[in-house]
Amino acid sequence: MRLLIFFLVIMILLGISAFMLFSDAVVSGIINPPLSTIDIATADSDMVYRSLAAFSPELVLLLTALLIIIFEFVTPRQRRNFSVLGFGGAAVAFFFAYKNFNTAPVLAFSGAVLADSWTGVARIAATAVAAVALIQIAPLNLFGFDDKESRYGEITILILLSALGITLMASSRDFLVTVIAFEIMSLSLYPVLAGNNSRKNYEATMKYFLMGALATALMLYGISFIFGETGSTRYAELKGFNARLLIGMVLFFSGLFIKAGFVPFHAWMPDVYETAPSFLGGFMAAGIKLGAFAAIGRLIYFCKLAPENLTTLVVALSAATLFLGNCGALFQTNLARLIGYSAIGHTGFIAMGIAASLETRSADGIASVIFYLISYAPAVIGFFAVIGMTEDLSKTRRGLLQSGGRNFEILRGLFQRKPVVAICLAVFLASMAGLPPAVGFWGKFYVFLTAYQAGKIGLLAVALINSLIAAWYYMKVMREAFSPLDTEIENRTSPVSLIIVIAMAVLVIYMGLLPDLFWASANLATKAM
Amino acid sequence: MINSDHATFFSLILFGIGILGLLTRKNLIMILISVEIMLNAVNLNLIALSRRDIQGMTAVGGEAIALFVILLAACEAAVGLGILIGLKKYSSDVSVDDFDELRD
Amino acid sequence: MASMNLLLALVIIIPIFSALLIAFTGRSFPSFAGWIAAGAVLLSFAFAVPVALQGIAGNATELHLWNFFFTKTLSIDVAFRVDELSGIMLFVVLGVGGLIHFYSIEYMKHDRSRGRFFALLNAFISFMLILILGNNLLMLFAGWEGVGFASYALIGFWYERQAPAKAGIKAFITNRVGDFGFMIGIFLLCWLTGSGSLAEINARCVELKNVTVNIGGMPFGYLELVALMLFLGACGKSAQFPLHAWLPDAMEGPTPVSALIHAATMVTAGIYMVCRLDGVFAAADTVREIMLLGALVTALGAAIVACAQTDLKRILAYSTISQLGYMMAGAAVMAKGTAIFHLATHAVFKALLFLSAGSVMHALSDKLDIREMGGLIRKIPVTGIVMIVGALGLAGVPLFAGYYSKEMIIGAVAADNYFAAALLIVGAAITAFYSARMIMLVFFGESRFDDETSKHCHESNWIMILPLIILAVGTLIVGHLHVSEILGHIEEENLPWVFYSALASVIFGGGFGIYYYRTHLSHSTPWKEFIKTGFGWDAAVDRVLIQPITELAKWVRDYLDKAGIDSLAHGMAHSAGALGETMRTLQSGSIGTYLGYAVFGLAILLWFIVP
Repeated sequence: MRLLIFFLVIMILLGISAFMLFSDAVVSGIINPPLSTIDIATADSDMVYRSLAAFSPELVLLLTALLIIIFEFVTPRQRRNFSVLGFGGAAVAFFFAYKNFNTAPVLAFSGAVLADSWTGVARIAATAVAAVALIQIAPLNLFGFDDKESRYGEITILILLSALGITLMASSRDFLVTVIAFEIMSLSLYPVLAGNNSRKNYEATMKYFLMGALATALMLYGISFIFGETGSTRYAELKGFNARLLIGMVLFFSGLFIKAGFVPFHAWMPDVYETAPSFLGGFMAAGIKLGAFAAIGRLIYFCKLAPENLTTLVVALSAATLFLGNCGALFQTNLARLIGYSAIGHTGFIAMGIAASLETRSADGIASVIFYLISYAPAVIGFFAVIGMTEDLSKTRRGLLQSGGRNFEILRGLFQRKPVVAICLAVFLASMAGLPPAVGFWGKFYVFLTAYQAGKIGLLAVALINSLIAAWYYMKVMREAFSPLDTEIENRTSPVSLIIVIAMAVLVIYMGLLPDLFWASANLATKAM
Repeated sequence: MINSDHATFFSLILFGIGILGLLTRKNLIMILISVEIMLNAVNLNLIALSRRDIQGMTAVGGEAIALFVILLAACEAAVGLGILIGLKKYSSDVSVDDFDELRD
Repeated sequence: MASMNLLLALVIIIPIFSALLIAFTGRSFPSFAGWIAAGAVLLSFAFAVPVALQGIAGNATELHLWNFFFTKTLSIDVAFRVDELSGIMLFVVLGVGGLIHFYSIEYMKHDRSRGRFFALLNAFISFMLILILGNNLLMLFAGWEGVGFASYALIGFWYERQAPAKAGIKAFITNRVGDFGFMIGIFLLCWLTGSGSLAEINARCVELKNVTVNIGGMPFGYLELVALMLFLGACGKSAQFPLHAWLPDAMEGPTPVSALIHAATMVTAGIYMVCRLDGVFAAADTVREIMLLGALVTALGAAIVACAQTDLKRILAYSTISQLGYMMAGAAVMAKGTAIFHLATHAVFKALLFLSAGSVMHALSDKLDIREMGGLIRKIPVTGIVMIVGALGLAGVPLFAGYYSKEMIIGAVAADNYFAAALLIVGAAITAFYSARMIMLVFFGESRFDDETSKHCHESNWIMILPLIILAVGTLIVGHLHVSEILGHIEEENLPWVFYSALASVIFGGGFGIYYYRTHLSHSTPWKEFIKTGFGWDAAVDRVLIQPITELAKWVRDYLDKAGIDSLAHGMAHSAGALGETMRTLQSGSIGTYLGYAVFGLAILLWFIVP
């Protein structure tokens, strides 16, 4: 397995470097005829340098990953500590992303990628999510317990690369770049998910992988049609939507829908979430969804000329996703599985913003999409961290890469055992259910508002009904946490997880009290796509 | 005369074969091969379409994209085979039907 | 004015911080909780004095913190503003509130969960500050709901006993009705004016007066509708007829809570809101007629009911309702100066009365029935004297606070409607009567309590006495401050007959009460028993509103929740119903099916979208 992972990493790096080095020559000169208008402004000699400077967060992520690969060979005994190094890298990348957030948009690599505020929001979120995931598997998190696990180094590398994929998904303005970013993002995660060495875990990995492979094939096939029709792989060249181009677009969207968890492309989601270790669950729910929707959002911006029934389609998908996700979650007895279904439901809410944006042919809806994504992230990461702190480890090893029993019973009497964690859990649940003053309320508020302004009243009614259903099952979890104690469960002692949980709860409330700051950023992000 | 539409039609058939294989095959190796067939259909389509005239010019970038597709296919195969080796521990004939514990 | 902004920020932050501090440490250090809470409120009061004085002088302080949220048509800020109105309210809330906090340190000394008590009390002060200082409708509403929450939690503070828990539920449900109207009113108002700012709304209401909506073919004034909804909210919070029934029951809470929340501050929030949005109400003439009518019914009815009560705190509760009716009458004739003046004086003397009642309870081992008191002036003279001062204030005897503010309200109403003013004068006579009855039965005549109680009967210690004395002095002073003139000129008809007849009614009512109850109790008759139940209104509200909703909640808990969802959740698959079964079948666990869904979905998409 180790060798395979290195093979994979090397392949990804090859892909990226090939793309970066030859992008000028290959992408602008051969694939895209010089007729393309946007490229001319950036076609000067120090272009590559300026392009690289605009992508400093991505470079930091990549270089940290490379550094850890070298360390893996040089000091293999220290690999237990590499996640701290990775956390540092992600934090530096976060810093650069934060610094670059509000600068003028840079169209880099001959127009294939755009570093604007949209990318900025995705970068900030992705690097933060990666940093939180990595600090959770830091050795500090197992007090007095020696974890014999040897895969921390690889996992660190792969999480960093996956975050890189997410940021590239957001910045890409080229179908081919989107697919490559998509692959970097998802291929990195399969080996991480397979870490449990249990039958269920491999089953989930296999399902996730095959759905991902189908997604890649569909997207690439879609590209072949789009390329055949427009002679380019740029989003900006999308025009004259005829049958062939529409086939291509639907195939491409289907691939993204698989990752985002739209019904009927959703079926992998509960299975994968059920067995994912807690740090990875948070990363997937917050990060992968962000990547998929960041790409969808940017692509939607270029679909202004698409026919009317694309809107109808997204509306129908959104309604189906809402109902299936939330009804599925009603009957769950496994916390992680419940969050898997609820994640499908949240995809439905976000899709409302996409539908609204398609309806009004403007960027209004997309702002609510990115706002919903950043409002959802802290709550779901915190929830998975709570699962990590409470899951039943009597049948599994105690390592941080394992997932234990996750039935509702693990939360029973949490308020007596760990009152602070229980209160934070209540905050996360309130946020996901959309109750003020948690930030989830504002996420739903703005999505509903844009849907209302776009005149999608029917969809709004469906979403309101589903908010009620969702509130019901979140309250079920809440009741379990605040019910009297009657079992003793063996848990991890996780000081770092405790800090993460508290920090996420504070973030949820903070964002809920100052939603306008983030809403303004979300609006800014859609200014120049 | 054979034109690019014929090639597209052929790639459509190839892609269909791949999807059918993906849906009906039980052995993971065969499923991985089906994925490869689908990606080959993509390549075929790309190369065929790159010869089409667009706006009076000839776009010849399809082959370059096909190179990227081959690269991605290799990456996917690597990960897929890795997962296959893991699954081998639990099912000797790597049949995906043996893995349906995660449900409801 | 930067220093004023800083002070204002401190005024708001200190109680919030203290509430959080006590909430987290109160369980570990319960004995400090009271001192921290009282210290925080008094400190906040000290900072508030210069800000409030500036505001009263007409130099409004505005603290703009951040933009809360914005959409294309509406933008709401988190901003605070101290002007004349909120300056007066600052004095009332923090001044009276601080004294009551101080008093509570001793009063709650022996309670196990006093950490929770003081955390909630401080949280109440914080929300009340948000309510009175908020610069827009949303902040007003947030504070409104927040004080409501603190109120329910504190009414049901001794939730182990049945009566307080029930009273909390009753307050909650009754207020839901009012709050529902209030929410609709706020929503309609934001929609109409496209703004949340209070000042802007008041300014725009003049031009929007003639906007109408059609309901069932009948044209209604839009602002009339808004004002009606807002008035419904004020009815719930300020215990006006017909939503007043929760307030007497709320006396099940600890006595300082009754003094602070259910007499001095929270229940006046409705009056404050009407005065704050006077632009809206000025444009709604019909609703103001309704308000005046409701206020008269409340003022007179509650005063009559108070005469028949035998529970000391319930007398005071009904008297609060009655006095709130007076304030509402003042607000209804657009004399907001008089309403706020009476609000301020009432806060002082009613807090004094409640706290003295608490002191009486303390002396008599928590007895509240005035039929078992009498002659207490000899046992607890200090409490007796300050309570008499409070009762004089309530009755409206010259020199004491209530006299000036009540006269002004009656005068302002007389300028609008002679008949209403006459009724209010009758009400003043009844007020004087029941005040006299209360004092005579508690402090004079022969002692009617048993020897055991008599042995333990003692004066409270200085922590409880000091606030009483300060409030008694306040009762003497506050009437002479010209509070009503701060809020602009009051149109008042200084007819001599109003003045003389009001004075005469007080003397007559009070004198009759003193004479009638000089030695003994009166006998209980069926009529008195009927009046004692609030003319049967309590029972009716219980039957019509509270019981059905409680039953519904129980039904939901028992059937829907326990029998329905729980059985599903605990794996009883056979009863899961069609939906659960479908979900189960859909998620078969086989990857072939999953891929099949995706391909099926793709086929549908292609079929649908390709022309």
